[in-house]
Amino acid sequence: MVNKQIIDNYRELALSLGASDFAHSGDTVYIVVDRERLRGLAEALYWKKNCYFRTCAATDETKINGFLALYHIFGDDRNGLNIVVKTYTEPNNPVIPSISDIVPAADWCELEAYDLVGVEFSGRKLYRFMLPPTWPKGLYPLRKDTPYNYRPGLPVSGERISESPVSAVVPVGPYHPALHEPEYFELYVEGEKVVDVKYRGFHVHRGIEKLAETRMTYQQINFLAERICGICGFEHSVCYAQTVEKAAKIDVPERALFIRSIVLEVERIHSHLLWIGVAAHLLGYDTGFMHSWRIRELVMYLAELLTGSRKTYGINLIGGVRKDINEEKKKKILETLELVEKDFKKLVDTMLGVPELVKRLKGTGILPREEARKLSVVGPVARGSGLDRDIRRDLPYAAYSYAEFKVPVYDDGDNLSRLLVRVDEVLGSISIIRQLLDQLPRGEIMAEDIEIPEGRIATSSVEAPRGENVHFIITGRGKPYRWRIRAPTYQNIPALKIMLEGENLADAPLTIASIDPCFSCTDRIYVIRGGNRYRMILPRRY
Amino acid sequence: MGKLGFVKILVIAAEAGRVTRKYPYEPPLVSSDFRGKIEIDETKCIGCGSCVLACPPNALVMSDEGEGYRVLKYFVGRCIFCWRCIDVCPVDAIKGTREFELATDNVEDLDEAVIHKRASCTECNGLYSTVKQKAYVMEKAPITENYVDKCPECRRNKLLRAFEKRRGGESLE
Amino acid sequence: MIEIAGVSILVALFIPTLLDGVERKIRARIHSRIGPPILQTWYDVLKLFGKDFFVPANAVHTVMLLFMSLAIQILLIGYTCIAVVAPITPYDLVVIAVLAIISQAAFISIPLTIANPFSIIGASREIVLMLVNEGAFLALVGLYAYYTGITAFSSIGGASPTLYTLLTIFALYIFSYVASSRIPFDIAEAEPEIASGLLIELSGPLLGVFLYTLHLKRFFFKLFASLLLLALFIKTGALLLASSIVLTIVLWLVYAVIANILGRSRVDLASITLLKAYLVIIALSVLGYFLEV
Repeated sequence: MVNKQIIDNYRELALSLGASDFAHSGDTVYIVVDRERLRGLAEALYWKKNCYFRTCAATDETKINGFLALYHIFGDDRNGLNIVVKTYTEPNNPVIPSISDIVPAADWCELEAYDLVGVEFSGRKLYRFMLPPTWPKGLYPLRKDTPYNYRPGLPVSGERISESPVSAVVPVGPYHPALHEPEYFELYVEGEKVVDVKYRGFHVHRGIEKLAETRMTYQQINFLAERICGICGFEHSVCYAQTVEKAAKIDVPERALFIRSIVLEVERIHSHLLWIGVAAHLLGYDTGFMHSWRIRELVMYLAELLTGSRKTYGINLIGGVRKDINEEKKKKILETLELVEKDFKKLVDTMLGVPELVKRLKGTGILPREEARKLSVVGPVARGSGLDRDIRRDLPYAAYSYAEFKVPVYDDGDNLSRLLVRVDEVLGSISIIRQLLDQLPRGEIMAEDIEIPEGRIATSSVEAPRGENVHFIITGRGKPYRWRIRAPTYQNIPALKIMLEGENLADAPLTIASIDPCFSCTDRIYVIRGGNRYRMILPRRY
Repeated sequence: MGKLGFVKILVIAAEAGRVTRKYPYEPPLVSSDFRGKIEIDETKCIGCGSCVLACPPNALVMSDEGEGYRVLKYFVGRCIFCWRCIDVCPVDAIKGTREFELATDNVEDLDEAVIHKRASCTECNGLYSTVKQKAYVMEKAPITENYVDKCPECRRNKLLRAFEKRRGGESLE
Repeated sequence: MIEIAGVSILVALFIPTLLDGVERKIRARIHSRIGPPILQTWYDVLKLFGKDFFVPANAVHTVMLLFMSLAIQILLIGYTCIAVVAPITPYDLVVIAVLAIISQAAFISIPLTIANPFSIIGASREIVLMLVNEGAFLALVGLYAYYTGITAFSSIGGASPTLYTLLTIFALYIFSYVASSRIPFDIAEAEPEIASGLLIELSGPLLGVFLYTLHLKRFFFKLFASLLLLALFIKTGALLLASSIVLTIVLWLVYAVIANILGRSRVDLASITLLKAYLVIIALSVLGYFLEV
């Protein structure tokens, strides 16, 4: 599938930059590199080879080889490759050079590695990022010797990020009637202009990775993975299952792959309809909101019919799916899709005719292409800023190689572009489902004899409605040794600073919503320097 | 329509009509495939614990209680309605329902339990497994009747003794 | 005659909150949902009155201004109803216009007295909008009086409808829409943007009073524009008042539909668009007057 020449180029590049090991398997290239040579390799991959940055995963491998390890995962989307760069460090002096100045997209995951595994990064400012400010020093939750149910008694701490020199300070949130998810935004405004943004999240960090690595079994984790996100959970469970399948080289029956793809697209449709509704609501167009959600309801009912549940479908297992699609359901899908398509087109047409809506969408919340590339943003945010990337096409998984679809790309980088990307994707998803139903192969939906050997490594991605999910797994006995999840919003929130600065306060909620943030799956803190005047806390959706 | 195209929303609304329901005075929209609360048939359950091992959120747990009882507890409050227990149950004792109106002001309503009598070892009188699981094993594999009466401990000792006898050596213990 | 004014006042004090309930029902229909019962807004307001009396922290004079605002609003409606059937002074129209401006000022100063950034931002948005809107209001009432010679409802006898007079009334209807803080002009409340802005710190009876005052305000400005319109055609005070109330109710329903097919504007967009619209209409009207169209 992947051109041998390209692999050889990577081998040459890696070895010339001092990599100590190079391996290749399927769509993933593994490179091991010394700490001293990491930065050189990262720069070459990110800027010369033009790879995107997916995430990094710090791992406590002391029980295997006595070291801590850091895996930087890059993605060469054009050539359909994942590039995993591994660096070792000693547990008693765990220092690794930071690459966040070369690869700005690596900023957050380095801080996360520092917080949760205790990897120190040289050449950058490190600060408490994910854990509460009062968390004991030197206690790293993702180290293997920390029990999953250990609870340090923590004193209550406030939510203020910094003090404003001006008196208008309201420390509201993260729990507030106007906030739909626990998170905390501070917008610094001069008049109605936003001059600075501060964000603090992680209130709903649930230690999912730790839980999976300790208490649960391979098949149980499918259901946990689904609960990472309340809107696009199925993407996470597919991503988890396919990563394990990839690691264990399990052949999943084709029919199961098709069903996964179909349900994934059903989820995309309802997620985008939800978003379009919320965008309308934020613009005061509640009628559009209600009708978008009315159409979405048809899709939710369909999802329940196909899987047994409106949300958290629970049909994924490693090796296949649990629920088949029969002829009757096939008919019902096609009927529903027809209704949805007709209604959706009419609604979008009407919505884009509302003068205030278009005025407030166009030219607001601009994310220029270069900035988008620098931060390796994903999903509709990337495609709205002219980055042509979509995992479904670039690294096809499930049954996407059987469907033809266009990846919508808009160049303006404003809120309207991101809306249009999503509108196009809803129609695209409808077409994909039709194509896949048409070709749905016969056969089993579950692989027989599932065996998962220890010590295998795999990473894979799924294009969720909000962008790519990345899962990284090192297999262990009966459960993963390490499971790292990167949700799309994780990659997109840093772009908000660029979108919001200089923006009108009134458009800020929409701009924040325009990345379709999902805080339960992301939950980070974001602090920007400077700014004064008023501090205000922004109400936000779900 | 040109610039006044947005007025069309009134047409859309008229076509769609009224879509919300006067639930709970009208039946809810639940599809035929909906996964709701599970029901455990205590006459069929053998207390083998497969469901407990499969259950992702620990809604099903098993514990030994009192004198000679093994209790399978189902707490709806933790249940995620995945029906994995139904998949793995060897005797089809668990049935799925479409019931979802489970709210209650009494938390005890959310608990269910199946109480099993534990089997006692014919040799040491120690407790092990359940009476029904023992019967199930004997029914499925009649050949086991020679040792199914004994607890795992005694069974192992018996086996070790058999080895000893054959090899003429001493037991490691 | 005064009995008719009395009945009208009672109707005008009860019906706006009821009409808000009807508006919610209309909104629900446009949203394709069932919606609350028609009396729901009354239930809400009464329920709010039954809650604990809670004064927001750092609020100075808020309670006083709130009740003052309500009092002025009731006075305004009472004065207008009486002035239509039994003129009080030869310059009733001027008195009403001045009272209207005072009521607006009192209303907007409520959120300004609360030290909450959302409240302040909401109020400052409203003030920007008002600067345009109230200015236009005074100009339009002035033009109307000048064109028709009506300075009180005792002098409606001689007035007749002309195109340029009707233009000023049309603009007054725009004014009444904007002053009703409906979408797209609900920028001072803007729930998803600034957490209900000027309402954020109000709760219980205070919120009840605020909402009730808002309903009265909405009713009054529609009634006022309708009175000026119908005064050109109907010359009996009692009939004028009754028919104006009926027209106000009809208009309320029309406004309810309009509010549901538009999105929320932004303070800069709204004020500039409004300013342009008023200037164009006033210019056309003045031009029409000189050309005697």
